[in-house]
Amino acid sequence: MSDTQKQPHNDLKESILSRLEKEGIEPRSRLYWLSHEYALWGAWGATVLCGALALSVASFASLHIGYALYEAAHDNFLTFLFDALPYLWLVTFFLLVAAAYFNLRHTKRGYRYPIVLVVGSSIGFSVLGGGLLHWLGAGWYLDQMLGKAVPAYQSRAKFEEEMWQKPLAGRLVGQVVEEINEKEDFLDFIDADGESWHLNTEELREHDIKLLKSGEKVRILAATSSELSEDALYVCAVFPWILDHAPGLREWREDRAEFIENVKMPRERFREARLEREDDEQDRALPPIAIATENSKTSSVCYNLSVFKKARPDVEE
Amino acid sequence: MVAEITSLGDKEVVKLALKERALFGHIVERYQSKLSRYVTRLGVRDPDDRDDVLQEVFIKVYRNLNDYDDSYSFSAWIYRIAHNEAISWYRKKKVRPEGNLVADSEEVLAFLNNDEEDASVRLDQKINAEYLQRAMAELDPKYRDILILRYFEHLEYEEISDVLKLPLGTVGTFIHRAKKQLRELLKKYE
Repeated sequence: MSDTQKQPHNDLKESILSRLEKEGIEPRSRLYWLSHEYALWGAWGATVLCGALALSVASFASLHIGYALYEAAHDNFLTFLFDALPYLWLVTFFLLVAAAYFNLRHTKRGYRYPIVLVVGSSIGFSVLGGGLLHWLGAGWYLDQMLGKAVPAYQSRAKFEEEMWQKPLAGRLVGQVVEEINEKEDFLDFIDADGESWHLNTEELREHDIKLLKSGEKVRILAATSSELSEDALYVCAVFPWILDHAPGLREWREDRAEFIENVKMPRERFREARLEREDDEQDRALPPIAIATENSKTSSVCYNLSVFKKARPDVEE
Repeated sequence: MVAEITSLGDKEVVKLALKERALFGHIVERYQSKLSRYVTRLGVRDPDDRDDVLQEVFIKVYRNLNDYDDSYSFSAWIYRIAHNEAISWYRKKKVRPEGNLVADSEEVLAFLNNDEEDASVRLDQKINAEYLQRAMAELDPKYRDILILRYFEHLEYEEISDVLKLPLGTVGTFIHRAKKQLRELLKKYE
């Protein structure tokens, strides 16, 4: 017989009952345990909801990372993705899924569910909620609100603006404030940093000029060498600023189509623009670079724009 | 009255104990020996320590009686509290001492082999209690706990799932792995 079996049962029983009485120990109420259980389920629901919000921002940011114009600021699509993916939100989403898993596992019956079901339901509900919230525009809204309220937070709009506000690389964000000389195709432009630029628009297509003149916020690609134009930026393409709302995929596709058209068409466009100019103003001087190169096959400033060259499928040296 | 209560199931006694504190003594009587053996197997070998642990277990059981869901086995629920209390005890002591298995090795080996279809994990009947105890002490703690519950406490898989808070499938997997590991450890004593 072991020590345990030798020990009289009544000793322990009596000492426990007397301790319960002496210390006034009572069973915790059913309400306490119910609230404990509901708190865990509530925490699970809250983490799934937050996960859905994080996913809606992550999906908004992933789907709207400006891939349409990735060549404008990056060497290739991979470097662009590396730079633009919303890591913060993706990490937040996975942390929240882990928290949801923890909460569900600690409910009364949580341990009985297979791990696939626990993880799957946490991810599944977050993905469903995230999809719905994304569809409702919550991702864009939260991203924008955080961007305004938290200076350190880089919203998609801030990211896009920082990526495009690089004058030395020939990219600008801003708006036209004044038409300087309609005949000579010059516009006054204020960029996102408040800098003022004279834009030469002679190689722009008609609807790009219209967009520029609308005074709306736009992104532009421009030739920046001082040799090309001493007192003006040579604008090669204009794209609308579409992050003042939650843009749909259609808008990004249009952006991409515009970009491809710009990439493929500059020489023809230049010729058209030049012919129009010659018809209208026979005696008007061409800009210095155009004079220098008008007879060569690369007689367009924009045709030689490095961004266009990089994105052009049949690069002609 | 005492005879009537003795004939009642755990769930009914719990309901009565919630109304009348003194009736909680019947739960103590029913589980004192079982839990005493269990915490000993888990490593609480000193009789004084064991009494302290048991007392804390029953106080906790009483305090948490309203948390008991009668759609589960009461036995699994009380074993779970005992398991947690034993773990807290050796966490406080900062060491997990070797458990005292207090069991007949042949009986346990028979159990170990009984539900094992895979010959690679069948164990030699010639293993004696001392070797088994040594091998158990060397087992990964999570495997040792599960083998103790299955082959020393004779709990069903579902009850083990409730005690260790593991999914049912994981219990089966762990038992299989535990036996495999135990066989490897016992090889050196063959």
